[in-house]
Amino acid sequence: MGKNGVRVLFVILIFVVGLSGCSQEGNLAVKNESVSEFQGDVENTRVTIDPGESYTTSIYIGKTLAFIGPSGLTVTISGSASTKRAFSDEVEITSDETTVYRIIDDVGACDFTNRYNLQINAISMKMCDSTEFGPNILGQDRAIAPGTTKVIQIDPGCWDILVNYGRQELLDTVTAIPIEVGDEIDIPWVPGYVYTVLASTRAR
Amino acid sequence: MRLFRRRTDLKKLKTISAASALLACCVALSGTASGQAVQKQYVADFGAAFTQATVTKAQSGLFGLDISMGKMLTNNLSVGLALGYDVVSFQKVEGIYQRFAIFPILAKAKYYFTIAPLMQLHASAAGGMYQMVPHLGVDPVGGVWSAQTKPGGSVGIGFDYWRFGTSGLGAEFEYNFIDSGTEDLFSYFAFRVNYSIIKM
Repeated sequence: MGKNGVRVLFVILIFVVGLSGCSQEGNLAVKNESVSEFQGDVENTRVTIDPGESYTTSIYIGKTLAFIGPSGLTVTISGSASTKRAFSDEVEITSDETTVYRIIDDVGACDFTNRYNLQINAISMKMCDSTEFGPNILGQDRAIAPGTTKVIQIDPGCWDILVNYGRQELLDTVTAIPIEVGDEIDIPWVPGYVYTVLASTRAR
Repeated sequence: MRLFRRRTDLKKLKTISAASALLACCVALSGTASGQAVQKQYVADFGAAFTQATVTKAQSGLFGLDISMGKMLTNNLSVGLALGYDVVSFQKVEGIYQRFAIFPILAKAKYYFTIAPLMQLHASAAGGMYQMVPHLGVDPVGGVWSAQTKPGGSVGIGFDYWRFGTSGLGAEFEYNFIDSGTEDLFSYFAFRVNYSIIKM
């Protein structure tokens, strides 16, 4: 093969490589700026992100040729944390850029632990200035066994909790629980438990 | 004197030989030129292509096999039918070959520009239906999850080199657009090498 043949092959090679399409990628950084651990899915991958930590991943967008083809891709982020309601958001990832998604608290939480030797049948709540308790937030057939904890997400405000426990369905009330967005409080419940702010608030 | 005459004869002989060769060339070239398709003739193209999807989650392209047949309505314009099988995205995942195949069925118009007796450039436009067949994909290529038939079209440019009289070799670049029903148009390109035949 002469010099011209090599040149022609080289030009064809450059042409074909140029036509093979350019791969487009972008980066996605999910920052957990809430006070509680996030668990969810990022682009179909199960992730757990501790408070203050980030999860960064490279997202493959697709192939382009010159100006034709995708320059971005929509990915779905879903999940929840104790102080973040369950959500599902779509985020646009742009080629050669890092897109940052921040997880921010939008609710308070109560880690309600059954320290008594009888199971809790139902839990109802009401605002402190209200007169009637709402429906059972545990749902049917979802009791809290002795020694176990149920995380309850609570809107900001002052709350009273009505506890129904034991086979005889005894009642107990925990009153005046102040909650703000980003609060996560512990209630190690036994009958007669009295909530005190300083001892129970873990984070804010 | 004899020597002079011999030299003169030799010159004549060379001149005649050169003229004969030139004449032969002209005859050959004019024959080839007339071999290019003209009105009412048919041109068939048999192509092998590198095909690549240019959409979200597209993997590496692979190959396409295409055939088209057109009738010359004028000396420059042909219309006809094009069929193909194009694998536009391909990936091997743990021993499994994920592929995205497209079967275009198109009505195609092609316009030829003769730039030399052996050489023609052409531009084409086509429209029709595309059968899209994704196979074993985890992520949908271009948002297409399932097999479907959608309308679309293509544009292309290329050349034919009629090296063998009524048959020739050529290459073309073609871009296909399909209304797949997702957010953006599904698109792929083909870089194709053709073997073309002219039929009376």
